[in-house]
Amino acid sequence: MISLISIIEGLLLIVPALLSVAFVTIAERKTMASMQRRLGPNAVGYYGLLQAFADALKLLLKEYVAPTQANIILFFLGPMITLIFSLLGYLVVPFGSGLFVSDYSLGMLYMLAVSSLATYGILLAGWSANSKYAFLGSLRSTAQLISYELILSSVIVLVILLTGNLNMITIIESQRIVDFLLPLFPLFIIFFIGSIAETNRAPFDLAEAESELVSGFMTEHSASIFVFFFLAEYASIILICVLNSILFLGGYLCIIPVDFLISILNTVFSIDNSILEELFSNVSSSPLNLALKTGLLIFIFIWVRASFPRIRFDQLMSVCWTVLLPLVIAYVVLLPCIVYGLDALPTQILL
Amino acid sequence: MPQDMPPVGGYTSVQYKRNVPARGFKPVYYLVGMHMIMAYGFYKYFHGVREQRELAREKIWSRLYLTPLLQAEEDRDQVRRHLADKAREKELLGTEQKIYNSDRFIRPTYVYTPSKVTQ
Amino acid sequence: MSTPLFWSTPIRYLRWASHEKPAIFYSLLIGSMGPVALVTLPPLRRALGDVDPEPIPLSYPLPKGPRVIPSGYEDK
Repeated sequence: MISLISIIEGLLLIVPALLSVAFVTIAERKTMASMQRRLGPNAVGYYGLLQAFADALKLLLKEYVAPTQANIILFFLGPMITLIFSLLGYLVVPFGSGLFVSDYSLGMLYMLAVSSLATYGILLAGWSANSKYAFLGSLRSTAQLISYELILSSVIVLVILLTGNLNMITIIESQRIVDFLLPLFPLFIIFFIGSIAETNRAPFDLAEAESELVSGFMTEHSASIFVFFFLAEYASIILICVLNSILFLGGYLCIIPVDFLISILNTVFSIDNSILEELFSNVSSSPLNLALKTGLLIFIFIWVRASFPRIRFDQLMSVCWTVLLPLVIAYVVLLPCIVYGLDALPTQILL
Repeated sequence: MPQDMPPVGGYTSVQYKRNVPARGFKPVYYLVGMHMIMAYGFYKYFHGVREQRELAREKIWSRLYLTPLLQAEEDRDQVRRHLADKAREKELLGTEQKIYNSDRFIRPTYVYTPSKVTQ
Repeated sequence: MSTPLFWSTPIRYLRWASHEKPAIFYSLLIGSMGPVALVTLPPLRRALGDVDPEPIPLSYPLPKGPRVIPSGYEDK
């Protein structure tokens, strides 16, 4: 019975995650279409909403081709590893107050570890295909992922400095003081750039630059294993947007200060014990807040993809190592000094 | 034959300047503005952390004041259980037996709780 | 304009570096503010009326009265 409940719990998380992946793909196509004065997909379903399912169905029905010289086991294992590890990250995400699968005390560390393990899938898939295009693509991808992960983890160290805890819920709840967007403003921008690069998105999508490498590390992958890669890519986009909003925008905390709003409304007419107060108190830490913030960030991801030209690979690497990394290290030196100088280290006594 | 003349009111102006979008402020202003935002954030953070610390202090003090009460309650319970255990032992065995080679009181590692709790 | 040397013309070199290598220049600038903040911030916030909070107790406070330390019970 317990195991059945835990299976259902997992499904309750994974099915909406995969559904949101499907709708993010269609959202991306529609948004980019409107930015480029096109219509985008509009035939399947109302407003083209079911396009993603049609695509997935088409890909699943296609014949898969395994290259004769490929290492078949690793060839199929690679996409699976990538998908599984990008979905495992959802395990520790608190979606609302009390809405989580696992309240793991080292949640942030777990998330970093799982997101780095997904790199192995890419490496394996690219190498095992026995094609130089896939191999070069996977080398580029992994080099990029490892370089930018350094930046992400260094920024996370600074968030941990301000929270004093690795638990995701504690990180969110300690932002009731102030969203870390304000004290860590430049680091949010750096983290956002890093997360675009970490998900292999334009303008950092050199791994699958159509004009250079055919399709990057997934050149040889087709049909259902291609779907795996596709799902993994978009799942990691959503996950990293969720991570952005948890670390900097206050996760599921309300965007508008509800107490302030209630006190203003109270001066006009009494809303105590009314349906309005009920509504406000439900909204104040509901998953809707996280969804709004994440949706905004995903929109910016798409916007960036539609706006910026792709940069060269050496530029990509030098931006990481000679621009972002010195800046992050400068703040890694500065911020502990400020926090210590203000005598404002977060208390370790959990409340 | 009418000659080709310029249109009445003259030619419209030719645009020879490029439409370069405004570059915004000087970069230094962005640097300063960004750090002003950070300073405001740290101001709020400072006060929040101090408040958090006072709440933690309140919690610790309430624990410190409560602990003797809880400890006394537990000790009283243990003494009662110990005496009941002795009585039960005497009823079953007839004599009171020492199991340790000393007269010191030794806190029992395992506490026997009867299945039916009477008090 | 040739690259100025740091040792002979430090001001000119810094000016050049802030234009040609802004990321590293400003990183060093921001990073070097750290030790400065460590020295200047505590007096500054005390001057603004902040009182250092006393440490949070983690155990019972020691009683104020005279303590009688018993003797004769030490382990031999």
